[in-house]
Amino acid sequence: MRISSSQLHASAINSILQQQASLSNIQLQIATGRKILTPADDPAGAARALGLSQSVLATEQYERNSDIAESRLRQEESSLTGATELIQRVRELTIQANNDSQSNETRPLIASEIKQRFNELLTIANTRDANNEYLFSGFQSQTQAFTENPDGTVTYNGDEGQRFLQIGISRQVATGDSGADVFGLVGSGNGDFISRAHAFNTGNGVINSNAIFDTAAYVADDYTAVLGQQTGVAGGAIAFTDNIGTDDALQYQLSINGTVVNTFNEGDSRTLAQIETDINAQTTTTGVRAYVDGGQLYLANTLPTATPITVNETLLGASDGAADTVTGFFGSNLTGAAASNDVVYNNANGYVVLDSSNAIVTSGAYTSGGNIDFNGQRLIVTGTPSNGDQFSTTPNTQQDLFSTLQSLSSALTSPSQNIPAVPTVATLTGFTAPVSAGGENFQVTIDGINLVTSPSLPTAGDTITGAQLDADLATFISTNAGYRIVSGSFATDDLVLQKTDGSDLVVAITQNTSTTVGAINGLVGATTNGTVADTTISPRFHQTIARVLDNLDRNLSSVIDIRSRVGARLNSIDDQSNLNESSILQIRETLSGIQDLDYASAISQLEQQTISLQAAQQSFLRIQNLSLFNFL
Amino acid sequence: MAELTSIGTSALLAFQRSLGTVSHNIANATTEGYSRQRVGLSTRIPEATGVGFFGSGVQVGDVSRVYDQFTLDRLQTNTSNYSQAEHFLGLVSQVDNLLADESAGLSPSLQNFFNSLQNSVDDPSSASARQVFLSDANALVQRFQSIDNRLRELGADAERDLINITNEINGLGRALVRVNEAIVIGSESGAGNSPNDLLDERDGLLQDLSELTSVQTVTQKDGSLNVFIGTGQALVVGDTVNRIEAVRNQFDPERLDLVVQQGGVNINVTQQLTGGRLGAVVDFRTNVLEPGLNSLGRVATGLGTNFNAQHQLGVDLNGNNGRAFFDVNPVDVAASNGNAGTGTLSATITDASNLTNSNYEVLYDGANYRVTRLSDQANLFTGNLATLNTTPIDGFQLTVAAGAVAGDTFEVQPTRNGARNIGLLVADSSEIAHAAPIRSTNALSNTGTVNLELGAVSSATTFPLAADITLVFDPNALGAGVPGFFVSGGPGGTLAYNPATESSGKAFTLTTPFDGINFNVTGTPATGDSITIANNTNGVGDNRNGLLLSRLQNDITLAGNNTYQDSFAELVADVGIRARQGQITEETQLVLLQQTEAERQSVSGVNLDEEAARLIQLQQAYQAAARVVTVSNALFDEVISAIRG
Repeated sequence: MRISSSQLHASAINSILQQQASLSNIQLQIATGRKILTPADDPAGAARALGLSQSVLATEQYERNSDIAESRLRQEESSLTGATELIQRVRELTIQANNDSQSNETRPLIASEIKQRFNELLTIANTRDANNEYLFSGFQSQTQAFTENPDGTVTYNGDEGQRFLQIGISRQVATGDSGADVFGLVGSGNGDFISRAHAFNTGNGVINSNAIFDTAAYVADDYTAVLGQQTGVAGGAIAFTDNIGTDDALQYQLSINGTVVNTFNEGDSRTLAQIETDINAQTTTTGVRAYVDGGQLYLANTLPTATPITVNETLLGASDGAADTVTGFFGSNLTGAAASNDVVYNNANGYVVLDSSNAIVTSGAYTSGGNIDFNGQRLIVTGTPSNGDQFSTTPNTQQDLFSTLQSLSSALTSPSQNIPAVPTVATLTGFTAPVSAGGENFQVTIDGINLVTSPSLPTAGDTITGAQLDADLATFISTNAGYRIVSGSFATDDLVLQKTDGSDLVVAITQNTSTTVGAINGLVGATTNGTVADTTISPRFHQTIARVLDNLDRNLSSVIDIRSRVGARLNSIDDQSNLNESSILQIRETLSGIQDLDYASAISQLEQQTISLQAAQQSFLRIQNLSLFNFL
Repeated sequence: MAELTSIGTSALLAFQRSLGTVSHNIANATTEGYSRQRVGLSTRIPEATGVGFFGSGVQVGDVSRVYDQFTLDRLQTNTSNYSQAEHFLGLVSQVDNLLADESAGLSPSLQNFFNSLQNSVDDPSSASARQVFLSDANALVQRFQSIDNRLRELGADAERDLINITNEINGLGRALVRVNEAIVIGSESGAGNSPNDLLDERDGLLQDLSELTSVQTVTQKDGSLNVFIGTGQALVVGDTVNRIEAVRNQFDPERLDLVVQQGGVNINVTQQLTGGRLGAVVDFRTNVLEPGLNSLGRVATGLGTNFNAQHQLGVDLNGNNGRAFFDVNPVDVAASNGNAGTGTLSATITDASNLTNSNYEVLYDGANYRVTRLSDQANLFTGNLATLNTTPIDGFQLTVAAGAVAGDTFEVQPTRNGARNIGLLVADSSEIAHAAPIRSTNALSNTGTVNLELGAVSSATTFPLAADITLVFDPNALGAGVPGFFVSGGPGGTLAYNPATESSGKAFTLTTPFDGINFNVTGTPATGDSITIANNTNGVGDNRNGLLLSRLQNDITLAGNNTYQDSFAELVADVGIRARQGQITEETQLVLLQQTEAERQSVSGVNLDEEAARLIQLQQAYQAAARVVTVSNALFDEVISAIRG
């Protein structure tokens, strides 16, 4: 092919220019370390790289979010730890205060510590985070979560909002809990009930289950199932058979636990309701209460005791031997010859369910494991309960931690101001006889009445045993109406003493000695000569304390529950963090594969290109020297 | 003797001419477009004698240029193709580089925007986090505007380029007419011999024209050429030039159309003028710049619209309903400047996720309106005004006012100015609506297990609530044995909820106008348990709406299953692909052009060695011819001396 001279030049220059262009491209790639200098170099790769670098940045943001979430949760956790320790301390204090070795003087001291704990709790509940936001006030993070009112109650000003943070592309984590949840302001209302057997139950009946089975029929209230005797008593006319007309003036006498309830004459008639009224008129004495429901008469001890109910039916005025008869309401066929019969009820065979106003809701025959259904609720008791054993259920309305502490504190400050709602019971345990010498005397008083009468006043050298005190107590009860022993004795410890009208029982030891001569646990022995130490043992106090403990336990478990949730969230953050980190690493690798330069190959390419360029330049120089004109 | 002298003289003259041509070739060895010339020598007419024909020497036949018309034609085509590819690459590379710059592209701003949004959402009451977010939002807006601005600058350059190229084409047209005339005259005066250098000049002009657009020629009998450009648009016919004019587009005064006047009517030939730099500019404008602006605008408008919608469902730090966050450009509608009627057209965005990158043409044909999507020429709608006014098209709704006459056209640009005109409406950081408008509270006295979880609100119509909405459970709320909630406040009435069968969760949406509120109820409420839905007063720590806002980053919110980032990446990839194609085309066309140029040079180029050799050859021939004259003289002297002698 014919080549023109300018073509010779042009092609040489073109090739040099091209070599230079690729050389500059490689040089730029090496200088920037990037394979893709403009999207044109690899359009798909460039678009992908954009997406991937965005993913890296987004994931890094999730990491930052995770850090923030973690720090908030750590702070919450430490607050919750504080709250847990506080509750445990309060619990210890409560148990200490509940101990009858404490007096009305020492309890307020405990109360003052509790008050301090209360303030501490308020501080914890109003914890703020690094941004000065209240941790426990929900969405209203700049509103103080809890404020104390002048009356000592605490108001929650926050809401139930929870802040979530995005810690992964599809994962959010809550970074707080509402104060209402943490401190138990929300009716935990788990559909459950606080159902329990009465502390003094003597039978072995236990609650098997208790739940709502018919929501529509459910009426929230406090209920008590009293286990008692389904007597089968029908009431009506009393069937006397007087041998000779009515000459004997026969009488039918009904006694319960030795107390005459009523005496009926020939021709008398008594409805169930009247019988109920008769029996209940003597309840304070007999300790037995009657209920009528569904055409049935139920008898039950007012307080659970192991004592059986003894119903005595007696025919009075019979002079004609076996010819005068009467059939008692309780089924005894009495004749003049066997004019008296005890009907003894041991274990319960029926139940009566009372609501909070003591109205009967339902009743029935008791069988172990049978359903006791009332107002949509089902209670199942198994075992053999005694007469008068009680099982109560209340809707689970949890008291918040602040109210719990508040009521604890006020119970401790003035334990005797409580008005008892149920018959008062004092439990006196661990009597130790005084051992003393020289002119001291010693007396135990109940409501100001001397208990010890023999010897009239113990003095130096006298030893009083538990048996002596028991004898004195028996005398005391027989001479003073309105007291009864529920169980136990001084001699055997665990004496439970009750005032039947439900008022406070004031038990005191007075002594005139310079040394501690003895104590009845639950009472405080005076240590100073001549002083009188009164201890009002209010059962309401113990009830309050029991409820406080119950609430504390539940508050504690709810705090622990939330702590465990916080822990789970922290785990989930850790988990997500690991995921995020490994995904960043992976994306970076992919990204690097797309846009980063392979230096080894780029540098060898550079070498090659340099050599090519040099070759092109040198060959051009050679060729352009070749001209025929050089030889002319 | 005289013959001998005459022959020698003819040879001397012929070789002199030839040497002159060789010198001309050498002189023009580097002249652009020069075709080497050859002198054609022939024998003179022989002298007839009785014994035969005696040669009478040499004469110059003609001086011709050595060329190949086919190669020349190919050279024009290749020049035009290469020039288009090269110029297009130059233009698209600027966009490519603009988008390639990681720090200048949209991606970092978009990412910063969402990252600082999340930082602010993490800590919704922090004024500083809000302020940072606001300034990043501002940076995003500015980034949209600056990219848009750079693209438009490139567009303006391209428009200026169009004017320059048009002027050049018209100038070349005039020059061609002049050269045509000279060639016709030269051919006549040269007695049929071709005016070689003029022909080279004309080829040169055609070559120049090829760089601007594609060229076809038709040779006339008299030697003149008719020149057609583009896909057959006559530029030079005989001695007239059809001028091409750049005039403003009927819809968009910033855009120029190329027209040719024919019979007093402007005929739009923009799309017909392919090839060369002109073709490159039009291609760049149609396939890179305008889709690029639309695509960027779509991201801006989509983000703005969606962000506003969500932001307006929230509540700000002051407890007010969220306001529009971005100032979003409305759908632009341009009426043709040729419209005769008085009808007007406006449009609003109905669903940003359906917006496309295309513009739309609305044509009224006297009875119906026809809507055509320009990117694929799809006819989306044909019907009357009333139907058009209630039919959303690709995410926007047209509203037509009557008054158009047949032939009136409008251009709808849903996203063209989206990036240019986006703005920020929220100036005070406390106006960022991170909180949800409502919250729910279980009554503290509830004894059941009921729980109400609010869903995201879907409409802000009823917020703030005039009164709390309280739900109270009753087993007989909807009649004996039909459990549910009594609703007080809000829509009132009752809501059926049966804990026995629905305690695992039941979804509710309140009735209109409270249908923005929806929630899920679980658990077993006790009779009288109540739940209150109330305004989120003082809910400064609430970030629910903020979380929903930050989710927009990853949600598929634009047509084509795209996030904003994807959409921008798509733009980058599109431009990248065009640039890549441009590079490949440019390289290919360059090789083709170099080959054709080599072919032309191979035929017509001057080879100096060849000329040197010829120079020597002619020199020797000339010496020999001179020798013939000397010999003739010597012979003559011999004869004279013989006569004397």
